[in-house]
Amino acid sequence: MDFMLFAESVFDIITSHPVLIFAVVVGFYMAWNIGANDVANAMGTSVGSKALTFRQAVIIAAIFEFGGAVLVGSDVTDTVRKGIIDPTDFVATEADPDRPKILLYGMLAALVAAALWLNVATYFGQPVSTTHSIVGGVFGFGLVASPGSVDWSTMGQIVLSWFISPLASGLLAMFVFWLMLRFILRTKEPDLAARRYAPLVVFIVAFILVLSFIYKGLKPMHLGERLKGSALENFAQNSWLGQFLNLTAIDWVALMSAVSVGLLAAIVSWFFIARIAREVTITEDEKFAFVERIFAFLQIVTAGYLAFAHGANDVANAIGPLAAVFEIATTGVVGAEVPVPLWILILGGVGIVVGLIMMGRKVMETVGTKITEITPSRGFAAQFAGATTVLLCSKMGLPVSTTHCLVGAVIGVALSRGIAALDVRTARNIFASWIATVPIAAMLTVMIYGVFWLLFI
Amino acid sequence: MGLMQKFFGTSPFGALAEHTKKVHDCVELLGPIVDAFVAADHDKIKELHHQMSKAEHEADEVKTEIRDQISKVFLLSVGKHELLKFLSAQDDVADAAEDFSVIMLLRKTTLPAELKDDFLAFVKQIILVSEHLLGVADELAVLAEVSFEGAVADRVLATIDKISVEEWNADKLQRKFAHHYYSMEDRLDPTTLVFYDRYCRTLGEVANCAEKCAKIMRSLIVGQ
Repeated sequence: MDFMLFAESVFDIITSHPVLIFAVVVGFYMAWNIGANDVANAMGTSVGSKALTFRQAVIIAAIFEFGGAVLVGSDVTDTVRKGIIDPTDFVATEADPDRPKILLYGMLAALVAAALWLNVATYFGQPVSTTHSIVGGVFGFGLVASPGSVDWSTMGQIVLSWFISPLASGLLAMFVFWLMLRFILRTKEPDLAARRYAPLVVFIVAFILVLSFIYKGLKPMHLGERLKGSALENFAQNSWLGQFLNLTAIDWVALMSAVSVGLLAAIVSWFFIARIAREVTITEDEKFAFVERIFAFLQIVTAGYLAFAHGANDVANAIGPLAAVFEIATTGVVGAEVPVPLWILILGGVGIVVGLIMMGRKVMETVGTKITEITPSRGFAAQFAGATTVLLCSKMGLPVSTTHCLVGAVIGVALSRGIAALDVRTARNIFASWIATVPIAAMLTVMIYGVFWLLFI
Repeated sequence: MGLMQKFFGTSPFGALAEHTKKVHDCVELLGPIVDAFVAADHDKIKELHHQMSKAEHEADEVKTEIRDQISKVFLLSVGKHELLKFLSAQDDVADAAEDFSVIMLLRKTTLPAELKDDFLAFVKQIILVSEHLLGVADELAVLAEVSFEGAVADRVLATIDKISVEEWNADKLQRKFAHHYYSMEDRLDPTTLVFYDRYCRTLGEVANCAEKCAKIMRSLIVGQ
């Protein structure tokens, strides 16, 4: 009943503002694109190394992409909707009561331009970052409409993060791979070592995921207020351990949940691995094949991790501008300190999942027929490092490219002599579109904004 | 196709092991060729020479394929320069083996029964050197799994060091054979002696080039 009322009110709001219908459609389409294009990057290596069937990959990706988008997606969304350009610059004045409309159509133009550029580039087989497209679009509009509105410090931080995030991801991948070599691959009994450490890896990933969504996702549930006066708060404030560690009641809830979910996941994984071990007899020659089987299993975990991080960061590219348009269309004012509406986050999450399901089959077919040169152990190192970097950036509200972080991670493993070779042409393509995307998206946005300006303003 | 799938270049190790196998096929043919030579079966030598040419040509094709492949990739886990050097050294091995079959065809030289054992032992040793090299090339995939360091790498490096010893043994057998036929120079005609010399030199070349391959393989594994 609640849900029906909620859906009805959302429907009413949208239909009473025609421009919103258009914005919702384009935003959803953009989310669809993100799901359709990036699923291969997040899940491809898992399907390619036969760690997952396509169906399993889609189910895991759908759950974690959606979870990431809805639970942790609002930080980056806020950056896109009001961080790059300052919306207070577009407040209505006596002289210009229609000023908020400029921002409304500008954001819409950025969204349309990014979707358009994404399609053109994909058509020509060029890899394009949705993040760079949307940030470039919003920035381009701001620069042309009102140069004073551009928040140079935020924009500078974002651009800096585009350099730092692949680098950090690469360094982390090197470190993870070094640990793998040191404690598993180069030991006398790599098969036993892999069995021993796999549950620990599962624990770490589950721990990180639970922590990140408790701190972010449970905020709307007002956990802090509910815990007022509880035994837990009492413990946190008065016990010597609570005082010594100086954690709040929420911290304790988060830590305890993360540890217990992590332990549970580790125990479950232990049984899974025992089953894999029963299926194969390990001869001296096949020790590494068994180790790869374990990593193929761990890749299921990192694939979910990466999908979560990707959802958390990239949903903003679709719904950041939409959230801005919604705010202006419904309230007529801009820059209010209201959180991103939940239904918009859900819309983005659904869009990503729908794109993933619709286009996933095509990805599976091509991945399935090609002999993948990446083994599960390398895929694991790259995915773990990439996901951790993207999730960290999401917490800092920085829109980064998941693909670039993965590319950085893969290069990190390659520099550790972990990957046979990397393709020059693909690297060149990635680099070229890395350079071209921001200016092109900015120019396209300005052009589309010009059209809107002629028609509607 | 996913961008990440395209980002990975084709691994050269499979093709590299295949190339080593083809080259070893050439070297292995030396066995039947000298058997036919001892039996003075020249038709058989001719037939084996054709097989040799074919194997050498196939090795060439694999070599070209690898060269094309590695021109399209970067950040290889082994040095590109060493990889190319290794290929060309292996090429020399196959060339020397083929040279030997050509020289065999030039003249219907015969081998006295008392020289037979020394000659066959010498050739057998050369095939052994090449066999060890093949074993090392087959281990490259496992070496790649552990990033070319650790216990597996040490074991492979030990095999490589053994190749040098085996090549040295081949040298000794070559000298023994040479001493033997020069001690018979009064009974052999000069052209025959010249040809025995040429056999020795070409076969020695096969072993030398195989050892050179092993040395390059060592720097391939150890890296910069």
